[in-house]
Amino acid sequence: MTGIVAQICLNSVVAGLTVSLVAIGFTYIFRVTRVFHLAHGAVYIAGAFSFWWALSQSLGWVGSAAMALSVATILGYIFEKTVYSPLRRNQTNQSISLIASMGLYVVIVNALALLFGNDNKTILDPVTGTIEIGSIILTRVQLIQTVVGITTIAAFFLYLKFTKSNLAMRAVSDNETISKAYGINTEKERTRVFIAGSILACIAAILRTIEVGVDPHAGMGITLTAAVIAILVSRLNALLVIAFTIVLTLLQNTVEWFLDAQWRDGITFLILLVAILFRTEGIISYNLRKDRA
Amino acid sequence: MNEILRIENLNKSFDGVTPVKDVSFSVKRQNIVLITGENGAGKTTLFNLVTGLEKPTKGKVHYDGHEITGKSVLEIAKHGIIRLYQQPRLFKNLSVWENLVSAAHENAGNSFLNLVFRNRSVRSEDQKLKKKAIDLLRKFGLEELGDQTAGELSYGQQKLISFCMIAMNGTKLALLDEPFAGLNPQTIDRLSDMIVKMRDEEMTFVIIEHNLTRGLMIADHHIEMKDGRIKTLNDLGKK
Repeated sequence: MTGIVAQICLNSVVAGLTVSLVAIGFTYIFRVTRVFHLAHGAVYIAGAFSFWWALSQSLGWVGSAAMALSVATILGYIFEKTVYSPLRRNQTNQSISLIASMGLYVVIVNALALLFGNDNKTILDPVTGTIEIGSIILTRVQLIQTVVGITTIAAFFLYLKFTKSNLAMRAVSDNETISKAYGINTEKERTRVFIAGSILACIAAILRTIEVGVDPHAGMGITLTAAVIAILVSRLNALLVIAFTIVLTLLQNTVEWFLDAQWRDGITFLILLVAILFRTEGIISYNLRKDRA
Repeated sequence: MNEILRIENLNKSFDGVTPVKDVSFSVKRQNIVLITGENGAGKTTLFNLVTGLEKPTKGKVHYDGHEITGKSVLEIAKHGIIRLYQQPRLFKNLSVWENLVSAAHENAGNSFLNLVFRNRSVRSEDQKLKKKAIDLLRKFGLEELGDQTAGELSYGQQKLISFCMIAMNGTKLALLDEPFAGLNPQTIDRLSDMIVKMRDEEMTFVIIEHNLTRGLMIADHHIEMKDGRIKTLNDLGKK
């Protein structure tokens, strides 16, 4: 029993790291731009398919990853510039951008299904092998996911620590109107956050594809988990997003092990429901004076 | 050039109403201009036209020798004009310190390469910004608030910090919408001192204020508006 618990914990930490890349991107996009970017799932899936296709064309791991990153980044940029930005300029409300985002997701997913079919695509030369640590088994894919996940997160933290973009993004997230009044280029910060989010989602997509392959509908589940995290953590804090994602993945895996796989999403949305019933502003938020908040 | 703002025959009409009619005046550098008038006199619309929130139907706005009529809020802000509303507008989830640095954000070297590699000029710019923020808070006796979250501060403290932000931002012309509203006499004294100090150093202010006594104590010129027009324009003879 102890071995099973330890194995579930290990699997959750590794999977949580990958999911947190999507969640960080979704949270930053949502908090900075106020766009509930469900099309993040389309960016994720387009990255995954690009990687799989490039690999099948013998472009090699590095070439395929570079191609996937380019496709995802361009797609995120196009979504912002051609859909969200015009909607914002026309001062449409958030529900319109949500529907537009949903539309983008459906279009991209259907286009991919049309091009490549609905079946699951796996890579031709998969990474195999395991490492045994006592009673726990770590696959080589999991090792790659851990190393790449931690490196990506570290790079993102370095970017936030050593650039002014972090403070600018937090300022825009806090109040876009005041940011403009003080001369912060809010358009630039929005573009940056969409590009950064798309890169993170694409890296997560590659890491998942080398493990389980990809099908056109694989992006929605992970995006909804990311969306739940973005609602629960109402602060622009990547560390909190990672911690929450790992805890949520642990809960999902535990429920899956002891009940059934179909309860994974059930537990996610049950937590969201309970959290927002008691704290509408999310579990982690800011303490402001009640008369001024 | 001593003139920082010149308004020529400014008009604004919508839905058959003309809240601003043929308004013309100019503002000299390092002056405080007080605008008073009853509700509906056109004061707020005038501010909206200068700051780019609304476009004039007719007339021109010149700032520092350049025409800024009809430019966007961001473009006008980048010229060095800022508007402060009656309610203090800060980044409430950021610390006071971060508010000040954010206000000066675009004044620092911020190209993509600078962001990634943080070259020496950017580091030195950061140091200057931090020193400027410390000096400002110290100058106005607010240094103990530096690490507090802005949203936790009292209304008066938030107002004082919003003035530090405009000083930090390199603002040359500040349009203040009822700066003394809702403040106790002690805070009004502090704020008046801040405005006068900032005026003496480099800044110009145009103020809408219903507290006429307080406004006249610090103003160099007084404009009274009625029904969208300038009724009287007085030099108070202080400068």
